[in-house]
Amino acid sequence: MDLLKEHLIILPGLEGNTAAHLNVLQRAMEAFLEPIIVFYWAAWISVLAFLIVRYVFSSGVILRRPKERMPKQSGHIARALFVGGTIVLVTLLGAIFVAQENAAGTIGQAEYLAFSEDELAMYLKGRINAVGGQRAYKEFGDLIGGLKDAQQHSHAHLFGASLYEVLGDGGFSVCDDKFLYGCFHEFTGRSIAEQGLGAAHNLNQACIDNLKERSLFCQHGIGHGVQAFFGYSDTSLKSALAVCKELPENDPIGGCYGGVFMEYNLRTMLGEEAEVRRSNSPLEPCDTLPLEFSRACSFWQSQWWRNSITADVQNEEEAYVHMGRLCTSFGSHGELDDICFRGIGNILAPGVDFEANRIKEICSVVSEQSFQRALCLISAAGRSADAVSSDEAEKICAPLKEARLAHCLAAARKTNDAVRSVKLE
Amino acid sequence: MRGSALLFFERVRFIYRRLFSIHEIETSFTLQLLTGASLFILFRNFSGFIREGSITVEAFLNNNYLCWPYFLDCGELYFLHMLPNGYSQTALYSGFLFLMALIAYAIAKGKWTIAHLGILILWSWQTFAIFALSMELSSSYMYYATVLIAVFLFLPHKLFFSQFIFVFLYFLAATVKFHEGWILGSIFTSYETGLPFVSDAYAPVAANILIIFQVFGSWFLLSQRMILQRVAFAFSLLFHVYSGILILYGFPILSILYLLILFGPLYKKIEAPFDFRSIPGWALSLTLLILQLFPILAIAGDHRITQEGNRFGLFMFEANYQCVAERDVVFAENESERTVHFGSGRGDCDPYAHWFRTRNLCSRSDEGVESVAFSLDVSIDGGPFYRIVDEENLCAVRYHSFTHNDWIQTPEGGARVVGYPVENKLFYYRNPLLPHVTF
Repeated sequence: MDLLKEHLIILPGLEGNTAAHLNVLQRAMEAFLEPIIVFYWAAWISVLAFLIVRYVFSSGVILRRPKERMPKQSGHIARALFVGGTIVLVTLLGAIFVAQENAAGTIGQAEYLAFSEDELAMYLKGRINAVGGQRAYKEFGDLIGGLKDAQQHSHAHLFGASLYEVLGDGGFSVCDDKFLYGCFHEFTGRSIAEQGLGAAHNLNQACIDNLKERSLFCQHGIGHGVQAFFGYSDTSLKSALAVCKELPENDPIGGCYGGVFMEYNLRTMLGEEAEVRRSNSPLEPCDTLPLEFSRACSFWQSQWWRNSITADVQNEEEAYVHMGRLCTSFGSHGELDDICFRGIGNILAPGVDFEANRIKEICSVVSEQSFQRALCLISAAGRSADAVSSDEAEKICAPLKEARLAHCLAAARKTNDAVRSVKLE
Repeated sequence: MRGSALLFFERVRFIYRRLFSIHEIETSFTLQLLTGASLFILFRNFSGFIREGSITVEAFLNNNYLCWPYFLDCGELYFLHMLPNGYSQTALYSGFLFLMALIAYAIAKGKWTIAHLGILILWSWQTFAIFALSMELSSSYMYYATVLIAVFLFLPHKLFFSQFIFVFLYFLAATVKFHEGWILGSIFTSYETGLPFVSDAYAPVAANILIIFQVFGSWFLLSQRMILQRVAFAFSLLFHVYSGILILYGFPILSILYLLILFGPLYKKIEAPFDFRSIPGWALSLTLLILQLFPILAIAGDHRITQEGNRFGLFMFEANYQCVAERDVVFAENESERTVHFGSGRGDCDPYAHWFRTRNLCSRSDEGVESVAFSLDVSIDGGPFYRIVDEENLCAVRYHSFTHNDWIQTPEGGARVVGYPVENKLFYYRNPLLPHVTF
């Protein structure tokens, strides 16, 4: 296969796509490609129509006014009008046809949401096939607009799965940071699950190259894929974490590790067969992992609790108070407890649709210690800043004062890495 | 007895002259020049055929030939041997060379019926070879040459239809270019060497000027306004001279000859004929139009990638192809052979060509072929490689000429992207640097 690589670039992602580089003019024209093609066809059909009409008239098959009665100039004008008018008419008809072709098969939100998961996948794959990944993703964004963030996120997972199925690795560039990176999560995860761990390194580099400082969420998707690749046993968790450890520029909590724990706990990549991990021990597996991994584990543990231990608790306050109590049982000089409260803030924000008042209410009851309540708020502010806006995130910081307020505002404004690194004593 | 034979000969000659409108040639200096041009074009084509092994017995035995989908068993007609296996092919073409010398003599003596008959014989062999014996010999250039010489040989109103169909073919060929590769110029910029003497930045401008000329400007070759006619003539001439840098002499020589003879100093506006005798000319024009539009209207998918229905019309320089074909042949003894073929050109990347040769392998191999797994990844104009064929057993599928074949995937139909190409090199024939590997 070295021969393949010598002559062609067969790698996932966009790297190596050197033959298709477009210059400035080509890029500008690419945006109008469809109208240009329609125009050329319209012009071509018009010229053909003009020739047919002209030759049919000059053949005498159809009666016409005697030539001498028609002023020469008006003949030219008539000809110009005929060709020009036909070009305009055919261009318009062509544009309508293309617009209809592109619109064909699109549906409204109500219809979309009424689909079963299989039907949704079929619809999305059909649109990706029909209009390409970018356009289908835009349509998809319009369809799920107005849904709760968590819902959008799970729909985006479905889109990522369809995208990967239709376009393979070439679809990587379609996903972006919208919908809490759901498309990235599923896409990268599937790529690794199908192609093995070799894809993890390529995708990680592509994440860093394409998303720069926002690569964390993309790397999170890699974590999902790695865990799904190994399976869901205790041993496989350790194998997946070892792979994450090898990836350069990875975050100790939120990147690849985060994806691994989320996948290990929720098994999202099993699709319809996804089933939340069952265990009688609330601290498992964090209590058995080395410290380098248990930090990330304790951060993501609250997400598992919300989907398992407290899944049936309807009252949000009650559920989070219970989870807060579980956080305090981690030990390890309180470090894991604190990280756990940050994890609570991280899942609370999307859980209440980033409503600042609800976040403040719930964070105020999760712990008896003001420091842990502050961690909850700061983490939620950071998450809200990513998903909604810095203005909205700043509202979450209102209950805090002095140093904690400063840290919270830094998280809300994304001006430093406050949530991850600051010691809040 | 001798008198009746002469009478019969005279009668046949009279009918032949009427049937092929020989008097038009005798009374038109332009058509007389066109007789010489037709002879020259056939000489040029035959000098290629004499070296071409694609219709020899050896090509059939080595499964190195390509029949048209409408005549899959064409190889069974092959009877020629080429050196080092025999002299029959070179002998045949030497015979044709002798005929060409006779035609040249007839032209010099003004014996236009004999010259016409000689060209008819050469054209018939060329047409038979291209459309019955070998799809490999066919190309847009051959299509052009065959149609234009046919107009000269068969149609009444030879001069008008020679002019009209020459321009009409320009116009039809424009449809090939209503595509991303030509409009953005990426067909050229995806080559390492780009467009000759035009920087990549201006490649789209140059490509679109040509498209606009083919749609609108080419018709001014038939104009009675001399300024417009001369401008169109000069542009066409310049374009064909320039195109020689990319595509060598074949197409430019034909086009330049026709341009000079039909639209050069001798050009005179001819009114379109609409008498009974003009019907074959208009019918041919309509047929060419239908054939050109057929793959676009009747066959689903981008025919630049699938190449389905492509050769019904003109398809010259329609895309920059790159492909990888992988074939796993499983023999009856459970042995297998895997080959990877890298292609850079239309012929290499045509799913039909791969299917045809695999079909022969399946039915004719002495070692008993059980199955042939086959995949074909195709990229055009530097775009992604799409896996357009991914068949577990190519022996089990059939090829349909007039509809889309389900076993050929299209990008719109879900063909997977499997990679991206680097810039390739432009070769006149096949890229000799690309390997053919057997494992």
